[in-house]
Amino acid sequence: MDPARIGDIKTMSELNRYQNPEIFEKLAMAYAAGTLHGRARQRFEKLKSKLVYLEETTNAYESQFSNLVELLPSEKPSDQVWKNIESSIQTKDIESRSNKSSWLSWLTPAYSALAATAMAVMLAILLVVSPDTGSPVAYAAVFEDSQSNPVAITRITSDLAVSVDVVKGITLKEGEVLKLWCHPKNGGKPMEMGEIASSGKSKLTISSEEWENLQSIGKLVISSHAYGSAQPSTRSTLLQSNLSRITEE
Amino acid sequence: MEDPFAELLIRCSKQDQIAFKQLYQQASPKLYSLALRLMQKPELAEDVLQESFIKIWQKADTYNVQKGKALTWMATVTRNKALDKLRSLKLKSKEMDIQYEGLDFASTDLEPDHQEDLSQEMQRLRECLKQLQPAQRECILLSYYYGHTHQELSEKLNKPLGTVKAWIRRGLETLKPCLS
Repeated sequence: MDPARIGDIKTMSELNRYQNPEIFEKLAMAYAAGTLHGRARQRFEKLKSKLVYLEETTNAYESQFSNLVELLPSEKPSDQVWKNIESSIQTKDIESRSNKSSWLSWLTPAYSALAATAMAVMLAILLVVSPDTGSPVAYAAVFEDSQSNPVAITRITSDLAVSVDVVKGITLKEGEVLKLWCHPKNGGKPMEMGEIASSGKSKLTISSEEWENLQSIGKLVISSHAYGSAQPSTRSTLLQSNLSRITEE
Repeated sequence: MEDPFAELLIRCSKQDQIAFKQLYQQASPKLYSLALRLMQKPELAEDVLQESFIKIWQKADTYNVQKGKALTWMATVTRNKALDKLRSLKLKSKEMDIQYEGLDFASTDLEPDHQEDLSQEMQRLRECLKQLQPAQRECILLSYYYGHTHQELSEKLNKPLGTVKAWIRRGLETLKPCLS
């Protein structure tokens, strides 16, 4: 049986022929050894995805032929490959966890990978996020895009430090900058907290009075501005997030 | 556990990123070497390696230690990724600068020290491969390591296409009882 004939399977009777071990084992071997090519290989892949015994037989032969990798000389890939892999799995992990839409989901190890500094501080003591009670030791906000993917994480700690990690770069027009704003719960004039970078980490500081006032803040906003302008009328809101209080239990 | 890669892979299935880094450090040199031979270009081979390890991380929970060694499972993932990429790029080896070729590393006359490093499974496979005629063995190994088609092998070995097909067919027929 020429393996290329697999491309001609059209009828049930022909399909039944591939239940013959003599035939499907040859195909599975050829596939695993890499001697099945082109359209025949693609059609075999479709067929084995439908027939469990074919998939199992192929896997068994693949496992045997893959021992050949032991004979290869070792070659070192560039360090950038691991960096890309590490970055990718952390991003995917964050995405999958954010899809669970738990309001505590940002306090997971996946987030800690990207926000290691803040997590080290906050997980050193037992913390809870509470919208109403207790004395806050920190505040946090996770900005998400329209697909609920995290774009930036903001933490404000009692040492008056504001940290903004933009984990998914924000595209700006030429001459524009990003600014972080806080909006009072009961309306009123937004307050500018400072300028932030469009990617990576930014650090800002606030005064003791501003720290106390955070209890009245409902949400944070990241907006773009023409460089040098702080007029609310010229700003364009890009992202917003509720501000969560973090209290010591 | 006899297979150190399997232990790491099982830890990966529990989202252990430290184990994943160790797995990458230990397994990537062989898998990159495989990708280099199939892709022929370091930048493409690195893309394949990257995509393969992301899949290994995502699918670690599907690995079954009863079905084979972890390295062979990862090699299958890498090889299939490389073949998919070659297919999507519509690359033909004759259109690329060949940087990696030959089968010196798979010679049947390995140094004794090298032989001791091989797993029992690989030693058994080598014994099976030794039963083949040299031309049959060469065609099958060139297909596995470099992804050569029958036509490419025919041109590379300067033999008629029908002869190459017959070598491969008979080679696999000879291997079958040995591997089964």
